[in-house]
Amino acid sequence: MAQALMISLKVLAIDMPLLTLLGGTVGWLLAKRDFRGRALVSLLVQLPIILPPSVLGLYLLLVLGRFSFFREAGLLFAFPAAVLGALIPSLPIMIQASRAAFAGVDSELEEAALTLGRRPWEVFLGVTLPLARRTLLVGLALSSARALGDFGVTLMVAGNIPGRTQTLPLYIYGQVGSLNFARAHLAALLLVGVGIASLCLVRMLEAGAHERLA
Amino acid sequence: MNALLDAQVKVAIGDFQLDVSLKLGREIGVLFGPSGSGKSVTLRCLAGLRKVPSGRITLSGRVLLDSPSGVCEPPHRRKMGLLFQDLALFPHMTALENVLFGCGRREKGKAVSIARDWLARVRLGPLEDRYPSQLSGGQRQRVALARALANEPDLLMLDEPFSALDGPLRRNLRRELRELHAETGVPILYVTHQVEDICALGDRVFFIEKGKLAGSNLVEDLLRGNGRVNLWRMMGWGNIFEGDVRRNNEGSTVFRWASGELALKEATLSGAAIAFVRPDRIRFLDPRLPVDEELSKNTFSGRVEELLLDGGILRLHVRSDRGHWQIEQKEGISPAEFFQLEKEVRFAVPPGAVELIFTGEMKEEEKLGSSFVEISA
Repeated sequence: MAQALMISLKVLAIDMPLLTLLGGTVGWLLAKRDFRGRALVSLLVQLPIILPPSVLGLYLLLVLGRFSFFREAGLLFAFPAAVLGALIPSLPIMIQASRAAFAGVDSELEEAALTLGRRPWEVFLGVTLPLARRTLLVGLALSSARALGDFGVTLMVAGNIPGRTQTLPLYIYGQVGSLNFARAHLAALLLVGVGIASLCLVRMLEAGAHERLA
Repeated sequence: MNALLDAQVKVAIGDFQLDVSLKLGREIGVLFGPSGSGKSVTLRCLAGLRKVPSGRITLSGRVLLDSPSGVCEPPHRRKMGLLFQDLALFPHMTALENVLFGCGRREKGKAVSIARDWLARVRLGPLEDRYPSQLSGGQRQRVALARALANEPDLLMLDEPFSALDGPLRRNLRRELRELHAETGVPILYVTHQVEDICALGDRVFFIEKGKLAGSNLVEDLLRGNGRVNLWRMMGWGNIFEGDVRRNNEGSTVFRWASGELALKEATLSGAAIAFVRPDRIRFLDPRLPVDEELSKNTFSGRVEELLLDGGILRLHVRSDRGHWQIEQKEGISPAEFFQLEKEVRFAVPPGAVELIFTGEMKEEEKLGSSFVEISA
């Protein structure tokens, strides 16, 4: 189990910055920028939420298998595929949260900051980000929990190779398959604990946000 | 006037067309007009917060926008402070941090001392650690003012920032704004739809109607009656009658309109004219006291249709058989029972308070001296 836990934590260590960067950027673009095709992008980035993991995994498999660059990079059924498999279904949660977070920052505050002689990046770091921070953290907590718990997409693109791509959820699947319920329970309890901790964190952040801005 | 701000902006927003030209010196300019006339959009265009496809803006010799040559400075390089209606104070920063944010990229210690100095100037020194949510409406206004001025703008623009405040507080803030203007010399452009603000604050007033500049005038001239009639009309303030100046049977000069007559002090001319009577020049008459002889010819009575106490000024709309009158009086001059809705009141127009603008052909009269203005057709 320790091996599976380590792989899961490694996946998370790479996915969390990626979720922040990718999800934050796309969410910011959708919230603050008006561009052609915004409605379509908004729809497309939400698709992974409603598609069954097997369908998502299949398409990802096709994309990674079709292009020689990906094939030669040896992504499929290797650790990078586990990272990608956990990232794709959790990204929409982060995008949605960051979109709400940035849309919740009154544009007038950003405009006021600009008229005070601050450059756009200073306005972003000094005004936008601090005001969006709590909702962004809520999104990060939820999407990370989703990434940690991914099963279907990871299985489709990374397989279930102990020591290489077997994450905690896949480990549980393997242990149940060999009727080793005690180990499955232990791993499941760990994931339940992480889930509860994430929700508690989310609750705390939300309560704090309301209190501060009341 | 040595214009520090010289701006022409032309922008289309859906069906709405904004086409405004402004020149402002080291003074307080009031942008006045009805709701939806384009006042706030004008400020946003000047500040660079809205794209202006066609126009030119110069401020203190710097070209901020010149559409033919493609110059368009971004908002953070324009040095134009903008005080929003909702103030836009940063809720996650204390009063001091808010002002500090306006201090620009100075060395930290110096910036803190400047921010503290500004907070002290608006009398908020002891409250520097409070968040905006912990401050009162007036205190928040002061923080916003201090923040905007700490940035040392070349122009300060205010978008109806005092509109949500009650009378005495608004008056105090207006006075403080005037003092800060005198101290700093920063030109101010102030958006309002309240006539009181024009009279109390402005040096110059720009009238905006349906996205166009309908006129601009020195407030001093406007209050003296040298302004144009359409400006009075646009303000929706004051009593305006169309009629003519003539001699009556008794030989005295009167202004006569469709439903009444006003005795004039003296007049040298006669002919078609427009009469303007400022609401605050009309005097209420106490029924228990005899009427001054000078006033007796211009005495009217009517029913109070609307009564409004606004910033210590009692504003009344009175309907008489001689038309509809706007009357203003400072609160407390007459007993409160005088003024009640639907109650009959008597009032008089002092002959010297009738300002005339001749609109047609004029005829010379024998008597001399009166207050009138000619209108250039």
